[in-house]
Amino acid sequence: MDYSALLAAGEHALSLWPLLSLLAGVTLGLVVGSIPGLNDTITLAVLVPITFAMPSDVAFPLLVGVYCAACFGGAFPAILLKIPGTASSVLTAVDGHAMVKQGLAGRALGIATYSSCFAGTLSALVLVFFAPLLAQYALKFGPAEYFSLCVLGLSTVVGMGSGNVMKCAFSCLLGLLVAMVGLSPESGYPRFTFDNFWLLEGLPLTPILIGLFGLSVVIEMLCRDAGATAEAEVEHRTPIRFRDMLLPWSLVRRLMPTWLSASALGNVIGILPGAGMLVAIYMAYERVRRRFGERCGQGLPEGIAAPEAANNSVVASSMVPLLSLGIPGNSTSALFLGALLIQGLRPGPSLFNDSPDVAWLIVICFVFANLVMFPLGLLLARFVPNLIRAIPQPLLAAAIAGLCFTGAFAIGNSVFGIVVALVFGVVGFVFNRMQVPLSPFILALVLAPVVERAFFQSMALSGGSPLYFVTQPLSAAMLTFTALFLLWPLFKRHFFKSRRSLAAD
Amino acid sequence: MIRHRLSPLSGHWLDRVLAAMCLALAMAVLVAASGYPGSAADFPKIIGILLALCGIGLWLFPGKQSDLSGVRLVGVGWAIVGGIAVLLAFAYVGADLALCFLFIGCALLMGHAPGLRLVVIAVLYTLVLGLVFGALLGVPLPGVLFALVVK
Repeated sequence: MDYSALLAAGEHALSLWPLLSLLAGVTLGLVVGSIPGLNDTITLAVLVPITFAMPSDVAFPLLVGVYCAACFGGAFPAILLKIPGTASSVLTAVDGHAMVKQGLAGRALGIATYSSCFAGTLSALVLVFFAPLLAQYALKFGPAEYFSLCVLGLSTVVGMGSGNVMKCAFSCLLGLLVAMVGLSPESGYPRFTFDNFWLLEGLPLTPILIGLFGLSVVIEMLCRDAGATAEAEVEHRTPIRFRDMLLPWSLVRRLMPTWLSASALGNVIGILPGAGMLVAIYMAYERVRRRFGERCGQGLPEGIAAPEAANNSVVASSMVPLLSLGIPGNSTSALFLGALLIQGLRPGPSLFNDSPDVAWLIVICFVFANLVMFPLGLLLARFVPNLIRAIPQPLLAAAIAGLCFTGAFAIGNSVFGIVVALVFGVVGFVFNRMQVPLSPFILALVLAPVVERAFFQSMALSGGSPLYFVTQPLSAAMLTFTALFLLWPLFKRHFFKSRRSLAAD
Repeated sequence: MIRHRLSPLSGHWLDRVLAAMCLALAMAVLVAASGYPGSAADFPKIIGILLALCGIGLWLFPGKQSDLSGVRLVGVGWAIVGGIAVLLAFAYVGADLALCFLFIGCALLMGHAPGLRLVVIAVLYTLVLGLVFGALLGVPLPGVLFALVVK
């Protein structure tokens, strides 16, 4: 590993503008994460078009700060109001709010802060060590390996994604279909373009993401019943003192095994392309539930520590496949892919060779963002309930809509971007309402061109023999895992049932 | 055995619509792909076949049912019509007016009280957007007001 490049990136990250940008990103992330209805993906979708005129050493610290902190910020309203700020803090609300009812609001927030920062930093270190190693190894990948890896990513997102497997598959196939619009990468023949000039180059990625994650939320806000939005009332206005949030050493020692196991789980799941944050938090919480039984859900510290450590571990580790292989681990890292492309960089194994300064800066920013998150989190946790009440929802929705329209226009300096964002805004709204997950769609959209190109290259190399994919050892191993992931929904219930009966015995 | 993820218990008509749409889309893709030459048709054909299988699967196992609770359908209609109107205004009138109307429209639709305060906030917000994109980021937005501001 190139330690000198790492040190240089660290030094650069601590210079004025990158550091200010990182601090702004972390603060923004904490705020948007704590506003129910907003999250890291929406914020990044709005921010990515803005960053394209920024220098990369300002743009990436900002995006990294938002990504790291938004996930943690969701814990504030989850604990204090029992309203998860982000989907990843849905389980934090269970034990967190139970502690608030016991008058331990400060302690609950402290546990969330310590867990998030500890696991986040650990996962950032995993990124520091694994991404360059994997990138070095991935330089030896041929088209067969790339094809199998992409198929593995798509199978993970379908097989292990949250929700109905058929809806996951539908979302994935629709993503593949949308990616087919434009010229065929192999023959150059126009597909699904309907003789439209704008469609020849395919649909632009960033406006699609702005529509799916930004405009869909605006439509959701516009369509919500007034009665449904009035639920964000604070039940308990327990004063939160700063010293309550500092955990005693005995509690830190008690929570350490939970942090380590949840972090390990989160890191493994984060590195798998497409597996998702929700899988990690449910698995981590399940472990705690098996260990503590009925005490879980009644204000158990481990009930906050496990999901918070798991979700923050996924954040940095989901960047491992993107930075080393060019394959995004989840929807949010797909937005990072957009940001990298906008900055004229090529994500993938060559990123660490071609643009080592940017690659290492991104990696080291994850470490710093998690370290900065600790004091900022402790400071902001006390003011968040008031902040949530202070922001008028109508003006917030209007501001997001304005940014989405402008951002979609700015990408190509054309109204076509707005058309794409509007169409996919409606698609995103319908998907959310019909419980169709968006992650498989995004992953398929990004991976489709790679899959197709790698497939035809492999066919050309092998003289048209599909057996080529199973004769390459690494490709064969990945295809085996693909089959296992696709069959996972069939065995999942049996697996958990047998483990539960073993635990009961 | 797989009730949780392949639940046949949902009865929401929208899930049936989704399955039917998936099948219709599969047919359309297969028809369109049949007109493509050689290798350009391979992947679309595979996707078409998989979509057809997925449509059948969705019909049989729709899973967790769609949730339309708390949705004002009038709001959906207004959002779409408003979006198209802003798009046209963006293209033919200018981004400044379009963004101003978008801000006011969104806020009013969500229940913000109409008044001068809202108009002032909308104009200020539009100006800030114009400045950020035009002056700081170097992406000039179309519009008379923005041209003056950036100058």
